[in-house]
Amino acid sequence: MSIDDVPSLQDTPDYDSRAETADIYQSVKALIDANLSQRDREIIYLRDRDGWEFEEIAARYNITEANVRVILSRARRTIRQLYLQSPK
Amino acid sequence: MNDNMTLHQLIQLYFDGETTLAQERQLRTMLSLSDDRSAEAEEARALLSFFSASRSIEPAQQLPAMSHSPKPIARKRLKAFRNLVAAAVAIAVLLGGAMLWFPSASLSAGADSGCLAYARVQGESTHDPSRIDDLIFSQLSEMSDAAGDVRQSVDEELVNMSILLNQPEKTKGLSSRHP
Repeated sequence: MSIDDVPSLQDTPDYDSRAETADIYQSVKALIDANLSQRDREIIYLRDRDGWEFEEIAARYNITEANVRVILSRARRTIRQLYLQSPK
Repeated sequence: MNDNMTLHQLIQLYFDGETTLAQERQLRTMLSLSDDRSAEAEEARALLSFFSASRSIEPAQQLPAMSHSPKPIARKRLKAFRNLVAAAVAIAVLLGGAMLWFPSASLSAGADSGCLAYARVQGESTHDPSRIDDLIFSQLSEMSDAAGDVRQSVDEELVNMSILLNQPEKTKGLSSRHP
């Protein structure tokens, strides 16, 4: 078997998958950066990326836990809505 | 938490901002295992996959305050784990030292002589071998719990990675929306 018979990285299914994942990543990141305020962006990252509890986020921003839930809900729905409105 | 909660109920709770962290982990796992291609499931999958990827790709993204503030609970857990390991090592060293210094005596005989072993754990000092046994077992038990927590965190990360790496079909439909 020669070296030419070895499939390149670009030929593997995993490569396609990673490329698509990277596309999604950049798209969602752009949506979040463009449509959420800095505070809402930080809160959704703290919760969904870093796994902070509601009370920890509330303490950090000096707001109530109920407020954190509302902000999170609004931010998640905003991103979902942008997906729904995106051209297919 | 209701173990019988359906995927769509969890998704609804997630977008209402009402899920606990455990429910969000459950939702990630359910989405990774489910063949559900409804718009609701795909949107939730995209959002959760994004944050999973974000953890792997940009662990300290441009949030200045956050870059110096790792998750408090994880930090506390790690500190407790380190303390427990240090306590266990200290006990082992002290017991080993006692046995070296008194090679002809056994631990049970030590209860009579009163000075074969010494342990100091989290401020509590004792020469009583049975009490030392209790302390060792309790510390080992706590270490086991802490190790279990660490293992669970690793498992969760592996589940997140599997969502990203093993589901090309699920992500395909979403990426096509954002050419």
